[in-house]
Amino acid sequence: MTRQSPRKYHYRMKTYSTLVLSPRDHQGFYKAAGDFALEDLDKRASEHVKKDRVNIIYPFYQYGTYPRYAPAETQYYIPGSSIKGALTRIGAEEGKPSLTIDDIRVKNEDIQLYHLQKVQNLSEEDAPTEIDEFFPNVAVEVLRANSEYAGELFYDASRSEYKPEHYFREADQATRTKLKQLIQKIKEIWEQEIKGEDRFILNELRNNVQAILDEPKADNSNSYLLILGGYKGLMLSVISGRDGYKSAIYLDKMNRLPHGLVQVTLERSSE
Amino acid sequence: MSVNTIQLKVTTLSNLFIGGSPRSFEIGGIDLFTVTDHNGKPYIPASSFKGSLRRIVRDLTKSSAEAKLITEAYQEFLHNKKQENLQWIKEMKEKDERFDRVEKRFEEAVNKASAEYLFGIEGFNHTPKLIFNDLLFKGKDDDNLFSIDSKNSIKASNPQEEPNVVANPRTYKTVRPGVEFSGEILFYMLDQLSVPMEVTARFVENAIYQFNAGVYRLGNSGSRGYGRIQVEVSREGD
Repeated sequence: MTRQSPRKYHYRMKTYSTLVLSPRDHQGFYKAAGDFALEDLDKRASEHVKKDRVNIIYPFYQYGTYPRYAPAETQYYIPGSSIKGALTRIGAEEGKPSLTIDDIRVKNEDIQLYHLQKVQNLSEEDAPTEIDEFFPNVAVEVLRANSEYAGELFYDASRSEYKPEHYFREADQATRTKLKQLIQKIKEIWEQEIKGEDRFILNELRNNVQAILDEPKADNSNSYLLILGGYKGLMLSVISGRDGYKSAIYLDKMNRLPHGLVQVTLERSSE
Repeated sequence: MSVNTIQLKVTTLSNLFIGGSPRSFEIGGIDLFTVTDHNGKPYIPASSFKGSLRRIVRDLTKSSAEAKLITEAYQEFLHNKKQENLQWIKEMKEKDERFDRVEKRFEEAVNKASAEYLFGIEGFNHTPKLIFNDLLFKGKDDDNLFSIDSKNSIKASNPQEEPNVVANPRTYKTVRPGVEFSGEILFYMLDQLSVPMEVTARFVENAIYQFNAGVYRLGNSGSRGYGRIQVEVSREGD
């Protein structure tokens, strides 16, 4: 068989919500060790961060190694592998991969510090359900919502019967199923005692997710919905036919959406 | 001017990982290191660059007019070598029938000829070819040269199973983007081919420039975005 060279695609990515991409094995920056200066914390903290409580900063993916927190000099990026990992079928494909997805460089000013928010006491009968900070002493670097970036991917037709659109379409469908699981979960907990304003926030989370699912989409659209990064909870990580399993709910409290919700639009390159 | 060397300058555009010798394993620490020299500086082994360039040449072979000329030149070279050795082969065959294989080997090599012979011909020594040197780091000692990068192999349960996600993290020490290396490719005996050296040099340069389009990668984990490079080329000759 004559081998064809891989073909290049451009893609655009828009974040609907904040994206949390912290390498698991990366060390945090510790206040006690003098790893970060308060002025850097000031510059990068989102409005909800309680600066006086931050003892540790977890970094976003970055090229190079930095002995101290240096957000102005750091080269941040979204790993291509993170996007590839969201393509469910590609992840299960064995042998030689048919898609190469490049990293995307991220502008420093689009990175901000954020306290992760989690719906607490979901399984507790004696305590009201509430939205609260998850590790309040930790500030996590996130990519801000409504950021737009462009990237490149390469497709090797000789290694797969499917085109990239197929993989992204499947991932889009999986994302929609997972978001429906989240809506269903919120419905399930609705009868529980939920603290004050948090019921309103959860309702907005549900409505916002539903609004994204309801956005009209042309049949020939090359735009796909994906969930990237961490802090998704089990229900946004796997599709399950089972009811009643335990899953955490993390949320981007500012945008009232799950973390890492992005739209990817594929464009075939003429190169 | 007769070309005898191609000088290369390679700049990393993404993380680069070329599997190096294993170090002591730390639980929770780095378990995969990119290759480094005796000073702990990264370098690009000649074999790594050669292997990637060979794949490019293989892909170009069908579509390149220069590749066709190079192929024909190798066929002519091998044919001539066979003719030069014909008397000797004949004499040896009379003494030992195993020397019949030598004649067949020449025939097979002629039939299989392609521009890939620039990387050597299996079973033949001292043929016209490219000789690759390691590409060495050319920056300052205190440059920040590495990234520590985690990749997770994530396995999610099927809808019929109990919902679960298992992640197997691997931590890589890679060369970071923006690091420069330089080295050279030597033209060995290529003047013995009937194709002009200029044609061969142009073909090799064109193959090297394919790296710049991003399709071809250096080292491991290219499909995860690793190994994208920018290459600059210059020629040296007599």
